[in-house]
Amino acid sequence: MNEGNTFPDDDTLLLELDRFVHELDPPPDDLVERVQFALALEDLDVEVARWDRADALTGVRSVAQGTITFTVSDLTVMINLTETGQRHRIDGWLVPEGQYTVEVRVAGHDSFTTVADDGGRFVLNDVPSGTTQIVVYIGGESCRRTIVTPAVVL
Amino acid sequence: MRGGTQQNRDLDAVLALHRKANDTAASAHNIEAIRLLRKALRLIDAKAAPDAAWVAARIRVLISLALATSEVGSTAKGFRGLRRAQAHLEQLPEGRSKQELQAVISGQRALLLFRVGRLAESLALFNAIIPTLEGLQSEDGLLLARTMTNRAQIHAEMGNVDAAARDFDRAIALAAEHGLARIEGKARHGLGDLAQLAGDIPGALHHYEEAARILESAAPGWLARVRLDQARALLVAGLAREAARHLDEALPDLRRNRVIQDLAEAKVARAAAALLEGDYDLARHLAVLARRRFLRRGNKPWAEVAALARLRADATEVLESGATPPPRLPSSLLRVSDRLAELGLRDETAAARLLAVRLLVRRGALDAAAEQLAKVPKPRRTSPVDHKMLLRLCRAELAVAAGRPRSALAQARAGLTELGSARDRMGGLDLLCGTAVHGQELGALAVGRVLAGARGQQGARRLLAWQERTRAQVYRYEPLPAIDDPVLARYLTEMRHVQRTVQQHRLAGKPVAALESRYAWLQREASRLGWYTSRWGRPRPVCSPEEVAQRLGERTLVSLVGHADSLAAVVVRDGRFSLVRLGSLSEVVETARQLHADLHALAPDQLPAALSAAVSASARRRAALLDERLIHPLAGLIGDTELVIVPTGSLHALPWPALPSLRGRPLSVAPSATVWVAAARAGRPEPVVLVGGPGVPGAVGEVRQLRAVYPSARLVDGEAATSETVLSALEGSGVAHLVAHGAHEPGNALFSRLDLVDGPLFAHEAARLSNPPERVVLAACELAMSHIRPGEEALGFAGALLASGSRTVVGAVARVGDSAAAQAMTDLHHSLAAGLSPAVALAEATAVDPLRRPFLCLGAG
Repeated sequence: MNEGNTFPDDDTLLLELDRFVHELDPPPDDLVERVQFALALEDLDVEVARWDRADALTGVRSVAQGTITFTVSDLTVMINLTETGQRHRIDGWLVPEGQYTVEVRVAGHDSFTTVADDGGRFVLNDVPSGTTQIVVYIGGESCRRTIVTPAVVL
Repeated sequence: MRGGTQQNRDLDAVLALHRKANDTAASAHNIEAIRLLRKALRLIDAKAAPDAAWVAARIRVLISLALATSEVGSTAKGFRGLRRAQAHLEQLPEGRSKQELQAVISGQRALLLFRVGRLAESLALFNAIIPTLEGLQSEDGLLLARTMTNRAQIHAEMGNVDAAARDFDRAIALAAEHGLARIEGKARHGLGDLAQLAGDIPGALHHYEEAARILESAAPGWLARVRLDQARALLVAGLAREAARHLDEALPDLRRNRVIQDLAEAKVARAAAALLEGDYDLARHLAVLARRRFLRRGNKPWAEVAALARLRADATEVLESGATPPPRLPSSLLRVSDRLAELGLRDETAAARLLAVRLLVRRGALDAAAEQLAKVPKPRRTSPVDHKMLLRLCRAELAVAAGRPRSALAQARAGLTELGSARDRMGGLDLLCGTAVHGQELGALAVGRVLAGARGQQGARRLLAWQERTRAQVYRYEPLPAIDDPVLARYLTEMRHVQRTVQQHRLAGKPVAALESRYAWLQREASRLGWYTSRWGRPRPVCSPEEVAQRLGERTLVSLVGHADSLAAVVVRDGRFSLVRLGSLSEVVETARQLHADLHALAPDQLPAALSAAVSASARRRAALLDERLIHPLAGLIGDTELVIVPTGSLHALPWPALPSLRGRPLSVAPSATVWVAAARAGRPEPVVLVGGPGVPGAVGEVRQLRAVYPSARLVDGEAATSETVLSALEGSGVAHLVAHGAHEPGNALFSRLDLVDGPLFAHEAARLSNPPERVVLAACELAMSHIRPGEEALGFAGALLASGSRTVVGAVARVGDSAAAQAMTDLHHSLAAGLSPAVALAEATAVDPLRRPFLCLGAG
C-alpha cells in the first residue's frame, strides 16, 4: 500500500509504538496475577505493613532461614516459617498481643483463617507454597481495622 | 598452484566440519552431528582428489558417522559404518597416519562391542591398541586419554573396580597434561559411578560434583547424564529433594537430546523421589510417562518396572491414608507381579505381590492375602534386605488381622534379627523406590502391640526391651566404616557389584546363574575372612532392661513411647520399671513445635524489647504446658534425681531444660538406652581441641578466649580450619569445641554438615573417625537436632558422633544468639575444667537463661 511512505497514520504509529514498548519493557509475567490477588481482598480499606529487613535482627548463630517481621504504626507481626514437605507451617506472634483473626492468603488457593490466642500467638499449618499475604483483623464491628503484609513468595 | 591452495582450503573446511561434529556428538547432540558429517561427506565426494590427506579425512568422517548413527539408530549400522572406514584404510600408505587411524577404528569397534554386551572382546581390543597409542605419543594426548576412559568403563562394567579406577586416574592425568577438560569431566563421572558401586556415597557425590562443574562448560550436553547418576546416589542416601532437583535439571536436556532410555530411567528415578516426598500424583504421572517411553522402545522389563512404580504410588498413598483400598488395586498389582515373574525379575515380582498382600489385609480379605502370601518366592541371598522386611511386615500384619498377636511379635522379632544380620543394604536402590521404612514399620507394629497389652512392672520392662530392639535398628542403616583388610574390602566391593549386575541383567533379560554362584562363593570367602567379626556393619548389641537398670546407678531413665496418638513413658529407677501413660501424643508434639518456634524467634541478640517480651511469654506458657503434660505425671517416680531421657520421634528436639521443673537439673538425652549405656564410661579429659569455622561472628574471639580455660589446647581456626585438619585434630581428642555454621540434613542425618573454610565436613566423615573425641561441644546452629518430621527417628550430626563412639555431645536444638551462645559456652567450659560432669556443668550454664540457651547434653553426661 503506502509504498515509500515512511510516515503512516497516527493510529498505526501508536500501535507500532505500543508494540515497541511492549517488546523493550514488557510488564512482569506475574503482574496481572499479583494485581488480581491484591484486588481480591474483600475490604480494600486496609493498612499495609512494612517489611522490616532482617539485618536489624542479626546476631544469630545459624545460616538457617530466620523469621520475618512486618510493622505498621503500633502493630508488629512476626512469622517463622518451617517447611513441611511441599508445604509450610507458619508460627506467628502479634505485638501488642490480642485474640485477633489472622488470615493467610495464597494465590490460587482458598485462604486459611485462625484466631491468635490471648498472647497474640498463632499457628497456620499446611500452608501451600506461592504468593502469600497475611491479613490481621483487629477490633470489633465499629472500629475494625484490617492490616495486610506485603505479598511475599513462599 | 592456485588449484592446490583451493584444495587445501576445501580440506580445511571438511576437517573443521568434522571437528565441529565431534564436539556436538560429545555433548550428546547426535542428530546435529550426523547432519554435519553428511555435509562433510558431500564435500569430500564433490571435491576429493585421491591423495592420502583426503582419504584420511574420509575415514575420520566415516568413523564419527558410524558412532553417531549407532547412538541414535542401531549398533548394526555402526558396525557397518566402521567396516566401510576400514575398507578405505587399505588405500593409505603404511605409516603413522595409518597406524593411528587403525587404532581409532579398533577403538570405536571396541566401544560398539561394549554397547552390545560383548565385554571380553571389547576389552581385548582395547588392550591391543593402547600400547600402539602410547607408542605413537601424539601431541594432543586426546586419543590415548579417550581410549583410557573407554577401557575404564568396560573394566567397571566387568567389576574390575581397581583396574577401572587406575584407567580413569590415568585419563585424568593425561587430561591435566594436555588441557582436555571434557575427558577429565567424563573420567570424574566414571569415578563417581565406581564410588557409588562400592557404596561410598559421599565419595560418589564428590566426584559427580567435580564432573558437573567441569562439564558445565566443557560439554554441557553431558551434564544431564551426570545429574541422573548423581540423583540416583542421592536417592540411595535418602535425599529425595536434592535428587528431585538434579533430575528436574536433567530432564529437559535429555528430552531435547532424544536420549530416550536415559530419559525414561530418569523419570522412574524422579518418580521414586516424588514417592519419598509423599507427592503421589507426581510419582504416578512420571511412572506412566516413563512406561510409555519404554514400551515405545520395546524395553519390556523396564516398562514393567515403571508400571510397578506407578502402582507403588497408589498403594503407598492408600496405606498411608488408612483408607480401605479399592479392590482393583491389589488385582492390578498381582497382574504386574505375574508379568514381572515371566520376565524373570524376581525381587520386583515379590515386591508387587507383597504390596498386594498388604492391601488385601487392609481390605479384610485375609484368606486371599494368605493365599497370595504363600505364592511369594522365598527371598534369596541377593534379595535386598528391604524386601525381606516387607515379607516379615506382611506376615506380621496378617497375623495381627487374624487375631494372632503372638505370631505377629515373633515375625517382628525374626525380621529385626534379619535386619541386624543383613550386614549391608546390598540392594540399595535396585528397585528405584525407597522401601527402607519397612524395618521401622515392623518395629512400630510390635511396639504398638506390646504397649496395648502392657500391665505392671513386667509390662513396662517388656516394652523397654522392645523399644531398644526397634530403636537400635536406626544404627543398622548407617553407611559403614572403612574396612582395614584389603582382601575383604575387595570381596565386599565385588559382592555389591555382582548384586547390582544381577539386577541389571534381569532387567535386560540376560542369564544370571553364573553371577549368583559367584556371589555365593564371594559370600563364603568373605565370611571366612572374618566378615562377621569385623567392625563392618556389626549390629550394635542391644542392652537388656536389667543391664540398663544396673548401669543407671542413682540416675533415673525416662524412655518415651509414642504410638498412634498415645504417649507413654517407661521409667526406670532403683531397678524398678514403671509405665506411665501421658495422654495425647499429637498435643504434646504440637506444643513442643510451638515452643521450638518460640525459641527460634527469640534467638537474635538484638530482638526489639516488645517482641522479645511477647515471644518469651509465649515460650514460658508452652514450656509450663509441656511440664504439666510430661513431667508432673512422673514427679513421684523421678524425684530430683539426674535424668537420662530417651525421646521419641519428633520430641528429639525438645529443649528439656526449658521446662520449669527441670531447670538446673542435670540430664542427658540419648537416642536409645543402649547408646547411653555404651557412652556411660569415664572419658579422657585431654587433649583439648578448639575449632573456629568461617562466618561465625565472634568465633575466633570465643575459641581464643577458651585458651584461658584450656592453656594447652590446640587451636584450629581461620584459614587452617580445613576439613582434613579438623578431622585429624579431632582424632583421639578428649574435648573438642567447635564453633562453626552447619546445617542439619533432614533427609539423611549423615549428610548433616559443619561448614569449614574448604567446604562441608559431613557427619558421615566424623562418624568414620576411628578414635572420635570423647566430648564434643557444638557451639553454633542446630546440629543437636535430629528430625522434625513425625514418625522418623533419624539422627543428627550429634547422633552420628555418638554412634561412632563419642560419649557426650553438647549442642543446641534451636537457633542461638551470638552472645547468648558465647556466654553459655564460657560458663560451661569453666565448670567442665573445674571437673564437673558435662550434665551438671550444662545444667548450671542453661539455668541462667533457659529460653535463650537451648543446649542439650546428648549421650552420657
